[in-house]
Amino acid sequence: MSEDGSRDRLRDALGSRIEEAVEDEVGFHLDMQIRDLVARGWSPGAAREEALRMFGDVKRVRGELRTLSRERERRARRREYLAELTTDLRFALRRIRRKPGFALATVFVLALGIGSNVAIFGVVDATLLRPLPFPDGQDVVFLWDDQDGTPTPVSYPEFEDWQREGTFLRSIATIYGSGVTARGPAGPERLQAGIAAGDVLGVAGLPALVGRGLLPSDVESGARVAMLGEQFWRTRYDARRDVVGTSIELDGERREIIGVMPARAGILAERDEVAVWLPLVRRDWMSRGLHFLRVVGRLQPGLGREEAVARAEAMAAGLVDSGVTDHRLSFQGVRERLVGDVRSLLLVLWGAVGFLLLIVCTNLANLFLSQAAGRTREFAVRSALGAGRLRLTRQLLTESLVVGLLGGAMGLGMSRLASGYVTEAAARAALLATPGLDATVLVFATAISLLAAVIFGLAPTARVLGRRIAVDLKQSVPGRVSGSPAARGFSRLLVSAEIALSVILLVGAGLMVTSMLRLMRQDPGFEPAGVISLEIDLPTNRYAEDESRVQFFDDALRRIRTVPGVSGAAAISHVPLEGSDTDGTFVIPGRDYAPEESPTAQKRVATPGYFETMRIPLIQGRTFEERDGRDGRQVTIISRSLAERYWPDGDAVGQRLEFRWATEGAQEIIGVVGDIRHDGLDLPVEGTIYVPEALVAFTGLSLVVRADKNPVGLVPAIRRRLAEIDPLQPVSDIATLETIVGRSVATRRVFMTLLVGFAAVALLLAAVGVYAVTAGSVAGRTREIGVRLAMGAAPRQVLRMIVTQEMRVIVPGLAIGLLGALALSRTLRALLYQVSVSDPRTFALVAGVLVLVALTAVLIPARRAAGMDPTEALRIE
Amino acid sequence: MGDHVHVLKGTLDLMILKALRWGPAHGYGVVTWIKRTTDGALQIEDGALYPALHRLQNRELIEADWGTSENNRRAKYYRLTRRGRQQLEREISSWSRFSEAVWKVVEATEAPA
Repeated sequence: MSEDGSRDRLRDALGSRIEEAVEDEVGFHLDMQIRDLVARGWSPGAAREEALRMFGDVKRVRGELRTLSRERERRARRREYLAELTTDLRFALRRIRRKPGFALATVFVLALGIGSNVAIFGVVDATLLRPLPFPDGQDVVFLWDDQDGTPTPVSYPEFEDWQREGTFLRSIATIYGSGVTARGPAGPERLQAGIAAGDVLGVAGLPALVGRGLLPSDVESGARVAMLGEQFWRTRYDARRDVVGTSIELDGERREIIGVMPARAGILAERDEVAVWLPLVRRDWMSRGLHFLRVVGRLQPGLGREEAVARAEAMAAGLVDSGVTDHRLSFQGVRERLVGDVRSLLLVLWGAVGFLLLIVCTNLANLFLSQAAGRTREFAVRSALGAGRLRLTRQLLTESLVVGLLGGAMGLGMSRLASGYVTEAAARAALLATPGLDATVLVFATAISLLAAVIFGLAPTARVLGRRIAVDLKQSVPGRVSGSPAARGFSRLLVSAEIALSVILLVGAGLMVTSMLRLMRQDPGFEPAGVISLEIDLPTNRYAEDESRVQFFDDALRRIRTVPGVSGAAAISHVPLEGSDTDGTFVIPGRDYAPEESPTAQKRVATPGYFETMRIPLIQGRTFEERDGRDGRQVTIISRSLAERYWPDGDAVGQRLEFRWATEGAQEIIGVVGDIRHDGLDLPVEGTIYVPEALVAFTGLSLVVRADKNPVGLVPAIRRRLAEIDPLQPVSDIATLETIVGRSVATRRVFMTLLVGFAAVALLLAAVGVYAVTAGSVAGRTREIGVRLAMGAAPRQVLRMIVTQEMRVIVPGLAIGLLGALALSRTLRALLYQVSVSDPRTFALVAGVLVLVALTAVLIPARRAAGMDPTEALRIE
Repeated sequence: MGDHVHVLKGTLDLMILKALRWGPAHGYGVVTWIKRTTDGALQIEDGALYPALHRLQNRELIEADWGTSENNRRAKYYRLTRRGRQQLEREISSWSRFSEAVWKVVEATEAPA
């Protein structure tokens, strides 16, 4: 084995060395030839000429020799490198075999760090980093009706206004999600439908996969056509291209299949999987007051966001001026819409796992450092035998790279298990995520594995090699693993850093837990326990008449109430916390409000028994009865916050209000009920207006059924009762209200769980670090402690001495961590609920927990030291 | 001189390996040995020998070291490796079979049927 340094110099000099060797060899030949010729009597000049003639083309031969020599050198170098690598690998594997527990622990810890990073990165990459799945995706926007700064769904007439006057748009489309019934092999089957007008494909910037897209003429004529969603087409029709022209029966009506919509278009509908796309046909009930449409558009190319906003505002102002509407318009990019708040959440998680990986690396660096300290002699011997510094470094790095790659592979596996959970946290943004492993994530996983390996491998390397190896050979005693005081100082520094990083994570987790606890204490305004909801969407062709729909729900509820175990049943247009699409303004006769102050409320259609079933308290007046909506009187029930705001004297009952929502004229308020939370437990209550179902006759309603005991057990009986009325009518979206409440906080819960998990792992690792450092320093001082004990020191004094010393590691780490948390917790602000980012209780709790855990980690080895027999201790070294 | 014979492909390797059979030699030594042994009947340029030597070295049939020549000059000495020795035996035996076969043809007395 050559000295590394000299080999480097050789490599630099390689070119000229080869040159020289070739020159020497050829020169030698020619000289010898000349000498022999001269000896045979040739004159020197003639001999030289003859020698060259005999040799042939000297220049060509030289060139050939140089090429061959270079090839030989390259091969030799590669072989040497491979031989060394094999040695290193064999060495690393031998160490793993010799200490499988240590190896497994390091690999596992590393896998935790890498796995969590890969899982989070996968989601971050899919939702934030990767380009949008549409060509020129930055031009695709969601358009909203802007009511007091709140983006609200759009009414059909408004969509038409924008379609007509929106010159800033290249294409515009509107979609609302609905359900249709198809006749499947196992009875009626509910399919997700996107009901669309305008040019969905144009907005997406994609061609139809097969056939054509929906045309304006389809919409105008109400043609019986349908497009299949890509996923549905692939799974049900085996991606056959000849489906175009065939027909599909939806809601008992045959429709001609005209094409296949690419799956990505579903993102515009904010649905996972749209099975069929149908033309939206304008109906009478689609009035200006009914905001239920999602509108998407593609900006004119090259227009730019600012210019587009300006022109959109000008258009909206024009519409307001001409008296068509009093609403403005706002828009959001696709990422903004889908990722929104989750963005900061994901970034915080990303930061958290970054910290976690740093802690893991610190911990491993410490472990490897103590390992390396125990190997000082080994390195000294190897160095004495001629291994250069570079060579030893490479060996150590190979060892850590082996651990790094093993950890990376295991981490990748772990991340696969976790990514589904993380995607859940991403909520709507998950629409942008594609399942499965992609190359970017794989590259990222490999990169961080290698990076981590270098980080934790370099620390011990630097320490081992920074020493004068000859000294080690003389001084180090086999079996002593405590390392030098300098190495321990470095370890301490690492452990302080670990403590600081885990404190930051703990504070983040603590703040999230506090938020979650406060959130779960929020009263949703109804009693979810014991209630199950089932969605029913009546097909308009079989239930064309208003009366038939009212009749259906009437029958259904009556029959369900006879099921044993049912204590109440009713129907509602939107189950609370499942999102709301229908808020809007209303008018109070005789009062004038500025446009931006006009009263707004959530609007709901409810049957009699709804408030009783949901246990929403009645505050004044009465709830709905059978006669409401049937006796020709226009009646309504409002919620408490509306009553308090607009009729502060408590005389709301008997007053009138007016809104355009398939209702005519003013409505008389017959009751006031409690407020409920519509959109989330963390959002303020919104005022609600309830309209009797018989008055409006919706096609789609959710049944809510309260059970005495477990509501899920009632589902088969409920289904049977419904089948008695209409065997073709499917039921969908069955969920208990407790599930729905849980779902409404899912993002937060998943996020909190992840953060708590990361913080727990970090704390554990920090404790292990503290333990290792204490154990190391105690071991290094065995003799000193023995002397102290022999001189009469009480074990308690020794204990105090050790604890005081280790506190010098813990306290600075804690202080830095708390300061860091104070600086970083601001990033959590958007995610916290009723908790300040510098909540003193959380900070104090974290400090307490940390000190407790760290002290425990110190006390285990410290007590062992204080309890030892002084004579034994003195004999050890 | 005068009756020069072209060297068959591959036989140069055989000759070099054979030249090194008795111990290390430098390139010039190999050339002179071949010329002397064949009485100069072969038509090879001296220079052609060196790439052949290097190729054999790259194939690890021979290895080289720098040493001092009989007249005290720095010279590259080649010697057979174990593999080179084995290769030499193989080539000798295949060459014998080949030349035997050719001889049989050359000395044939019967006309083709």
